[in-house]
Amino acid sequence: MRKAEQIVSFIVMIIAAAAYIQTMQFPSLEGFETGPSFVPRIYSIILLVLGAILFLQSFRSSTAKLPEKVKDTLIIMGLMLIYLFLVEWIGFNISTPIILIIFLAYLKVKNWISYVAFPIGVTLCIYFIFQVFLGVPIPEGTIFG
Amino acid sequence: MFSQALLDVLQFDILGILLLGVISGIAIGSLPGLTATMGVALLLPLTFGMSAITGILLLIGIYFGAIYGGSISAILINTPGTPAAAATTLDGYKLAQRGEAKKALMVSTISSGIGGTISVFFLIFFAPILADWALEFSAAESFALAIFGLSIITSIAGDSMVKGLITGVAGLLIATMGLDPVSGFPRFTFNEVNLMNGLNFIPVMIGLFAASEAFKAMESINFQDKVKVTLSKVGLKWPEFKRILPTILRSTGLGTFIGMIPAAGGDVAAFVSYNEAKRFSKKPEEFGNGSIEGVAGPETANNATTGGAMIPLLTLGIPGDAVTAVLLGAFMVQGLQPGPLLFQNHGEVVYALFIGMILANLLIIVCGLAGIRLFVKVLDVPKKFLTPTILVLCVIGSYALNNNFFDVWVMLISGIIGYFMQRYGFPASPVILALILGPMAESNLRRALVMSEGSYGIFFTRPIACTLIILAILTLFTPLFRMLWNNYKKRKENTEAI
Repeated sequence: MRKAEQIVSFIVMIIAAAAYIQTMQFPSLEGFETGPSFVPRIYSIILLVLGAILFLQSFRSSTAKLPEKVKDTLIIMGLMLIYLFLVEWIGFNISTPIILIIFLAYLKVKNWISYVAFPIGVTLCIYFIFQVFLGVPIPEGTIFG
Repeated sequence: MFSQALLDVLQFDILGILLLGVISGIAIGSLPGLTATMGVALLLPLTFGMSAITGILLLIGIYFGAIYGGSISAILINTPGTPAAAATTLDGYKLAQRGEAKKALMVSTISSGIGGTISVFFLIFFAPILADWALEFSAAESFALAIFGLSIITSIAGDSMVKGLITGVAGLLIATMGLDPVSGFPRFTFNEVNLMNGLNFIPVMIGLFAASEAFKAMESINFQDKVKVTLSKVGLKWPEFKRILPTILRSTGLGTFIGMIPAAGGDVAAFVSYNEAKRFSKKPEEFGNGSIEGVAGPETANNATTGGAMIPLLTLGIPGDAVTAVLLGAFMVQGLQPGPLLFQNHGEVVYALFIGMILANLLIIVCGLAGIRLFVKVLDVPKKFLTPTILVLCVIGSYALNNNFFDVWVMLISGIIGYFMQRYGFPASPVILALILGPMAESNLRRALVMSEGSYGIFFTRPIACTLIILAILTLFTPLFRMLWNNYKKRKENTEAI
């Protein structure tokens, strides 16, 4: 955990500093009105201090690695990225069954009926609840204009 | 007039519509990404052809049901179905993880119903007085209330105060993205048009809670198939109910009052009430680990805001929260003008609404308790099917808000970050707290300073504001000092042991 905390503390301090530097481009106070930089600067200073404290505290954490396995998670995150690109491109109603089939395949689901029933079922349910019942538009896909 | 109103309401078709509204509301509320405001707004057109009482009661059923419904997904999958349920995840999900989902859901159902019902009584008997009080709230008071809400950050920080504060302050900083509320200057937008209004906190919330939880579930997907291994059939016992009753009553008061304040709604009330429940609890260390008071507090308060928010709406024509703003539109479509004259000109409609509101809250208890067996079935779905479904819902839920695909990307990025935050011990709740209350705090702070011409004294000369700020300081620093004191004692013990 220690290494992660140290990395995070650096990221936090860098973001805090970057934010503060950005605020220097904001217009300044006029008269007694507080300007747009007032509050963000307070936050970035506090954040900087907190980042430093985290770094100092990290020396109390163990250097052991975390046991949880991330491989499956990372792959799912990758699949989600692909899913979002697909939805933007060919729309939700087509992408969702496709990605669900891929999910099931990766998760090694055996029952082949699920490969048909589940993706189609979920997509239909969402279609009825969101589009038909509530009238909420669903991403159409840029390919369809 | 009262008996006439009673007869009006107790018709099958109106009761049927009310039931339909409550059930739809519960369903809408439990879907992450669909909020009470959205549910009411989306179904408002359905009421155009209905009579006034029917139409408005349908929307009220949806409103009340949705605020309760958010707790179902908060408890079962650690994702608030609506922002008002964000505080319910803190203890609700822990209870579910221990196998006590049924108990948590019962607590939530009963608390929501009681809170909502009592708040309607406040509305009926004290509306005019309370409305005047609510008008005392100006920018300074709203700022103080927001700061009070934010001060509970140290109480929900979890194991590491520093990490909790980091996520909270980072959230505050992110909340400043977008157009500055006072001057309109775009902050941190990097010329990206989608960031002009800042990051919408609902996709962030969906990502941080639902998506990250789904990613986390992947870690054990191949050896732990169901979400829950053993589910306790034990529900809420009478002695436990007696134990949480003070929390329920206190939270009802808090929720009703906060609901009355324009622009403060269920989400603010839930966090404030959670904190107060912890403060007054005999076992505060249970909070964050599965305390039923930790569920009763926020759930009572968020439903109590419904009655409270109706107070300024009906008496003054000023909406108490986002949903009542939409309801204002519903009234006007029906030819009713909310405000002082409403009681005089359309008394029977108002009475009918009162009765309908009480019935709606009672229906929440009935439907909620009856539905628990159904809700809990969610936990029986194998993770291999549940997790992808949740991820798909995250996508559609984030899109549904503004029909803007950018929000979906926000959701995914938040989910990925949220997963790593969980992994390394950084809590997500302070981020949501910051995104909800940060803007409220900043805009009111600056507006108050404009009104006071730059003097900070305004926060100390106005009694309500001053009280809230003092409470905020106490709330913020007490856990901090307690932690430092505990660390000091531990170190003393260690050195003495040597």
